[in-house]
Amino acid sequence: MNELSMVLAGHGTPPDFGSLLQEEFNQVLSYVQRLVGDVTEAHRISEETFDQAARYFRKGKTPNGPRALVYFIATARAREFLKKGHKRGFLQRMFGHEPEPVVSFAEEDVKSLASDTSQRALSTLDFGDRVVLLLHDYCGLTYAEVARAAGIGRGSVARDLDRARHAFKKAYDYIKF
Amino acid sequence: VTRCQPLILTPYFDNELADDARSQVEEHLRSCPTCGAILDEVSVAAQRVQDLGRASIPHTELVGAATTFSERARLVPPHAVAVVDPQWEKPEWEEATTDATVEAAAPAFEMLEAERIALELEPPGPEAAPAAPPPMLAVEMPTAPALETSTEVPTEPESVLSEPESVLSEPESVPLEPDFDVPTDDLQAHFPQTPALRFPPLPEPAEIPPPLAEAEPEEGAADVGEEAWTIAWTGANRTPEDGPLPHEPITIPSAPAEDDAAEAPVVSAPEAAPTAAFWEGMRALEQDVPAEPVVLNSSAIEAPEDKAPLTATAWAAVLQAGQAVARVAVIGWSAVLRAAVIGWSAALRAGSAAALFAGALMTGIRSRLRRDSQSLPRPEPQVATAWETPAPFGERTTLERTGQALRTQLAGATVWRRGPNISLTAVAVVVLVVLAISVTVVLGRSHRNVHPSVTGGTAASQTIVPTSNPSPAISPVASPVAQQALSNVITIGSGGTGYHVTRIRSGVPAAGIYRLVFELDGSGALPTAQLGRNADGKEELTATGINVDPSVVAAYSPGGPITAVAQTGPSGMNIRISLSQPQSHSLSYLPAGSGLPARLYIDFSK
Repeated sequence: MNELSMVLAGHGTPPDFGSLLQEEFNQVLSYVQRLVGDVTEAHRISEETFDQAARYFRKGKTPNGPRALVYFIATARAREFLKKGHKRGFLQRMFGHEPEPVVSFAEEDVKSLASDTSQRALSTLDFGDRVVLLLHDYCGLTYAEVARAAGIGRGSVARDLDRARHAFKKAYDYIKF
Repeated sequence: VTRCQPLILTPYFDNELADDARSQVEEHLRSCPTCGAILDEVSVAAQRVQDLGRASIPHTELVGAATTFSERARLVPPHAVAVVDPQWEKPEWEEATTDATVEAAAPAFEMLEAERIALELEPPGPEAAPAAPPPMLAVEMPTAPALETSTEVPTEPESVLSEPESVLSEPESVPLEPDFDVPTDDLQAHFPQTPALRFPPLPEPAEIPPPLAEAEPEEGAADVGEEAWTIAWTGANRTPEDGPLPHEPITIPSAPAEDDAAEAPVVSAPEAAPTAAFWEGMRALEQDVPAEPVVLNSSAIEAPEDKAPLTATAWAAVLQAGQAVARVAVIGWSAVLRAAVIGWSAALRAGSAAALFAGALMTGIRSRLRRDSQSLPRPEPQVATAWETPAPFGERTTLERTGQALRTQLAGATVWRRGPNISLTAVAVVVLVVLAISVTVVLGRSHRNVHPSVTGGTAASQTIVPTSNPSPAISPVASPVAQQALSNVITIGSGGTGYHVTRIRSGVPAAGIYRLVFELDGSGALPTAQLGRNADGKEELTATGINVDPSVVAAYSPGGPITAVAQTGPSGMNIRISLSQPQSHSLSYLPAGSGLPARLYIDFSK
């Protein structure tokens, strides 16, 4: 059975970029917002993430683990933003040109991202623990996908996830009560 | 598992353990309440993270965004993405069919193509009308008795032969040279007269005619046998001495006539009849469904090599070759353009470097020449002997001659005129460039929007809408301070009104955090409150639905990093908080409960 027949039979059909974006954009935006705490920056980072991820789908190819790849890019960009802020290019600094957003949304669409006790408890965690906790419990990734998206080993995922959950529970109880 | 292993509870909770390890953990949990409590804690934490809110951007927006991103990345259309292997690219006309279908229908294509050419070769007869299809094949009998028998068969349709009399009486005048032999009644029944490759409705499997070899002999033709069904093949220039045809077994009649073209070597009809596999392929092509691969034997219908038509396979090869040539041309042209751009930029860089080097070289040469000119040997003064030999009257004096000789000598010497100082010009240009770059960098940094998470990792992050750089996609937040140049703006609340501040207090809830609490009195939805930092580094707290009595503000005594709290607006809540040093801030509400009123509080942290 060759690859074409497998595709026609519906087994192992890789997701195309359009379906990946439609399924994951809201989740990626929420994930980045939980990391950086700013919905505007999260929106920008999410669009840059999918803009970069689209290049992996060129020539009809599909990257291995496209879902983990998207979260890997989003995590790297969120980490860079938290370290250095929004770095603008030379032309942007000279002329103040900002790229137009592709995905437009209303305030009601992101109202659920408002801060609450869980968000405040998340902000007390280290970045690595926050990433692992959010990728697994918030985004629903498996251990293998979390390991690929966070750039750590699979054994480290269980260890970091255990530590992050206990720290989150402790911070949540402290803030709430 | 006899001893507690808390670290294994997380993968156990996430179903990431193997079956044997999982059973061991379950056995341990039955007897260890401590591990059970830890597992409950893990599950509660995971559940709270799962319950966090998520964005809900409509699906219609995302569809358009997917198209935009795909166009930016120059992706192929989504329906073609599923084809992983590029070698499966097909011509456009072939996309609608599967490989199995095409493979099964290939013999049918060849047969129909040959039929089409045969129809084109023969001009339509005079009686060709829509009701009466034109002749497709000219069938002849090798001998006169056979001909008579054939024409007298009652089941033979009249429309099969366009000109029965002329064909039968003058077989050498038949222009058509069919390249295979097919029962004409089947062709007439199932293939209307049309040169295009349009397939008529196929018969049901029960109606598929069996090959002539298996068919019952027709009435009246039984005495003729299989050899009676022959097709004139060569026409005028073919003789029996030419040997057998290349594609079919040949049966020579028992009594051939040398002067009759109809008695030329003949092709046995049953060998070329369409088989059941052929009809299966035709049905698969008609219905466009995958069919079992059809293997036709060598006796299937095929055209002679010298009259082989341009089949669909050949057209597909031509199309694929054209596509390959076009693809190579596009790739080559893009490579040429890219090389031209790279070469042009390299030439510009090399030219600028050469210009700089030449400028420096000329500067050095000029300075060297200037030094050389200054070190030239000066002419010796000749005026020393001017008074020794007085000039005769009317002649020039020695001094005048000396001066004239000196002017003549100096006129031949190289005299450098001082030009513009190139080194100073270059330095000035470099300074200007450095100043321009510095101004650009400084202006760029002044516009940078640094998130509070950068300066304070432990600060609670809120829903932040930076009004200094609003996104056009987000509707602006209705707030009176939105127009001010505030940074790190935090907005909370849901637009409630009717609250007023009863008390302002402060405290240290945790190490490194200083909290300023506004105790509120009111009910209903929480008012919208906004906190931001103005250009002076002071915090501006604004809430339209909360009123503050100035006496309450005056009663507060600052502490910690807070140096002053002042009310800046006549109505509503407009509080300006001065800090001893910049702090990260967060803004939150606490609902009333446990004997405490509703509270709006600000947490400051370094």
